[in-house]
Amino acid sequence: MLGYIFRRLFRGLITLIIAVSITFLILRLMPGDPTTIMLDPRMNEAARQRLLKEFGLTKPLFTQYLLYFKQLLKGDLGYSFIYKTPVSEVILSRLPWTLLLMGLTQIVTMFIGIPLGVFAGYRKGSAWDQLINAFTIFGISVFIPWLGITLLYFFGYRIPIFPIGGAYTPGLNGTELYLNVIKHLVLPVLTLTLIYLANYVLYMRASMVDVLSEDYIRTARAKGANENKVLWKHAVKNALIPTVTMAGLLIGRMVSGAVLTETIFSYPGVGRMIYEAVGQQDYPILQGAFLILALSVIIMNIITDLLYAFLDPRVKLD
Amino acid sequence: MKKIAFLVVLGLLVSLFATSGLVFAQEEAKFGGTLNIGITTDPDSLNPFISNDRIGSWILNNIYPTLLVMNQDSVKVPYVAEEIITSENGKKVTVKLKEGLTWQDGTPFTSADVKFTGELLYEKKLQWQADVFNEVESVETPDATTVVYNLKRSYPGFMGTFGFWQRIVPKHIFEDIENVREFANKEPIGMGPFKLVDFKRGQYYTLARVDEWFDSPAGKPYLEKIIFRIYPDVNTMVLALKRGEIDLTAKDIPFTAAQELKSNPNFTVKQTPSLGFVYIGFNYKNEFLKDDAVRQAIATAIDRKKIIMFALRGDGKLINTGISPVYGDVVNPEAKLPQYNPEQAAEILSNSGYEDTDGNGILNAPSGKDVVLELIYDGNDIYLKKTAQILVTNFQDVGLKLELVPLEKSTYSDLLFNQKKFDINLGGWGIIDEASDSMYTLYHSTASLNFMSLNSEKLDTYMEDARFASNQKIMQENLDEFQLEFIEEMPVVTLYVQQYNFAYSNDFAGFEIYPSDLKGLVDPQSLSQVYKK
Repeated sequence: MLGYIFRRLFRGLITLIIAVSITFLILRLMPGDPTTIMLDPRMNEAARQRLLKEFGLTKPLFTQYLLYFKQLLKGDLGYSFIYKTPVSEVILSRLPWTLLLMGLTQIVTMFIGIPLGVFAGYRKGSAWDQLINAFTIFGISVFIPWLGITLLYFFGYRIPIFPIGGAYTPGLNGTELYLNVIKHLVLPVLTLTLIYLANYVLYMRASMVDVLSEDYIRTARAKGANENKVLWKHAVKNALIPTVTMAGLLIGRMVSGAVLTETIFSYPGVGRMIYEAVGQQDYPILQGAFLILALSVIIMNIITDLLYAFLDPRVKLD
Repeated sequence: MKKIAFLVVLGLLVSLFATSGLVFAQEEAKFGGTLNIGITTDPDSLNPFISNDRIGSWILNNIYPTLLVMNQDSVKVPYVAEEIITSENGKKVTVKLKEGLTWQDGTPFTSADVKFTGELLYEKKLQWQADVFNEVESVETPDATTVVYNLKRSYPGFMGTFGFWQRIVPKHIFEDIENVREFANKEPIGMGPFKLVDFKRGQYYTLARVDEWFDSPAGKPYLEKIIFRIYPDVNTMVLALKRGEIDLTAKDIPFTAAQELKSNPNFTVKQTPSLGFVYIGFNYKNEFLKDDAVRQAIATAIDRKKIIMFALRGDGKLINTGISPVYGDVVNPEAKLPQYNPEQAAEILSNSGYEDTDGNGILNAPSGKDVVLELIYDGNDIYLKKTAQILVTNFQDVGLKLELVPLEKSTYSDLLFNQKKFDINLGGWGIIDEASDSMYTLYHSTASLNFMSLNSEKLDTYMEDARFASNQKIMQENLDEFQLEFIEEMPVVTLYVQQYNFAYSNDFAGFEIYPSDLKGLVDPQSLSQVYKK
């Protein structure tokens, strides 16, 4: 077991190095450089060259790459071109909000999605099954900004029960602040839940359909176990295993949703930070953000694998 | 005689009413209240040297002073400077400062602060405006409220650039900072109508009023607090305004939102022109565009009024020379772009040997080639997109083919700035001030922003002579000549000056609108007199 974890960590490290290198290269392959975005008649060529030098972009690409790795080994994520502050400081101020938003979305999606999937799979082909399918397909196909703006228009403006933007209203304290934070979370979590629900529902449904045709289910029924027990103890427990894998992988995909959702809801998370940094070609911020993302996906994968082995005794890690 | 007496009495009555109205309006203004302002993102920095974006200006200009500000007519006027005196030969610029001002920690504001700010700016090359100090020979501070700049040669753009763009910093704080470039300045001590009291990156910036401010009618701002809140999406920001989460947009709002808010009795929409302009630029390296006749014909073929009417839905001003009408005094009224006249444009082309010899509907150049040109522009800009479509028809009407190449902004900038690979570009400049300086940085044959590869000896001479003219008169004479020659040369066709819309809640009053999205309604001159009704 320990040997396995060690091997997985080693492989994770290699993946991380590759991911970081690709990010580094892709950013520099983008047309132009951060100063061309700032094109301004007030900035002459000398000022532009000074900026490029300050950003470390006048050095050869390979030197920049080596310097970046050297800096990373020291635990230094660099210095934001735009905000002129350490990248780690910018990311740390944003990360808790994204973790809160994503964590809550995962929980809500799981608690709604899994039972819905179980139900649809159990009643395969019924009108309920078709309705659930249609609903989740709508969620997966909808354009996030449209959904966000529509929700904001109805529940933020027409029936003003939820706030329009931000993580909380400035100037509040204590319980009032906590309640306010929750109020601000409702619409973004709802948006993300509608979008990611399909992942759980469809996976769980397909998995249930498979499991329900297994011999051990027939055996359980033949033994005279009541239907609820068959469903929840024998079927759901086994059908959950592939869903767990999917949940781990979903983390990576959720980031793309976070970029758009956090922007529409003015939520101060990492997703919105990425959106802003792309527009301004802030390489260090983007490198830092993708490093954190790659790291979290790798860690989630390892956790998922371990969990998988725990849930399915047939899987041997070594 | 009776008539005169009647007019005098009428005049007195009118002025009496006007004054009583004024008294009434002033009585209405009271202290207190929080104004929430919508912004799109964080300021790039809270360091007054380093910040160089719009959001930074909106926040920091309310905390740190500049020697000059722009008035509502786009003229730079003294702010914390009392007056600026330029010697006859233009080589000595004396700045007299307002007396009795203090920094927010109580330290008096003196000429030493102003001198120090310039020195630090230049020594560390902290910002683009540092370069104007290349022309400074020495700086003297004969007394606590006088700074004298001795220039190497006369340089009319010097004070307009340094005085308007450089926020003055307190010497006693900044002289102790080791690395100014990396100084985050999280607890700024400035001198302005407001001070920063709290901020959370990505969320909000809270400013509180100071106890004394010379520019506020009541001696200090009416508003107790202003909070800048971030809404990255402008549609969400408009929704937040309608909902009452914010009371004002610092960012300009789209036309449709402005129309809707205009008809809503709870809001007021104010309009102000950009300090820049939108244009199409010709690449002289292109075989067709290097021909004077083609550039003149295109300028004559473009229906700029139609562009303003349809692409901007009326929210634009015509611009007739290379200099925006916003700077009315500098514009030469005799220099005028050709009127829209497709027949005349076609005639110019045909007189120069352009004819459709192969009958495919596109004119052939004397070399026999079809005149097909590509137009590059930022495809995400809705106004440019619509403008480009009108240009296609305008070109077509005179037998020229214009192919649209919408690009992502960084690709567009790269093609233009680094590769200079384009036929015609459609783009805009955000802020063009100090015409004597900026014309030089845009159109001089040695300027890096001269992507067109324009090389005109005549224009170069006018620009050089205007840039270093010993007095305003000589500068203006050269700018006048420059504008006339610019129309003859036609390196770019200036299309329009956009009008920006800003909206605020009628729960507040006292706003004044200043030019462009750099200032708008959040200029310190405006915010220092806004009050909650």
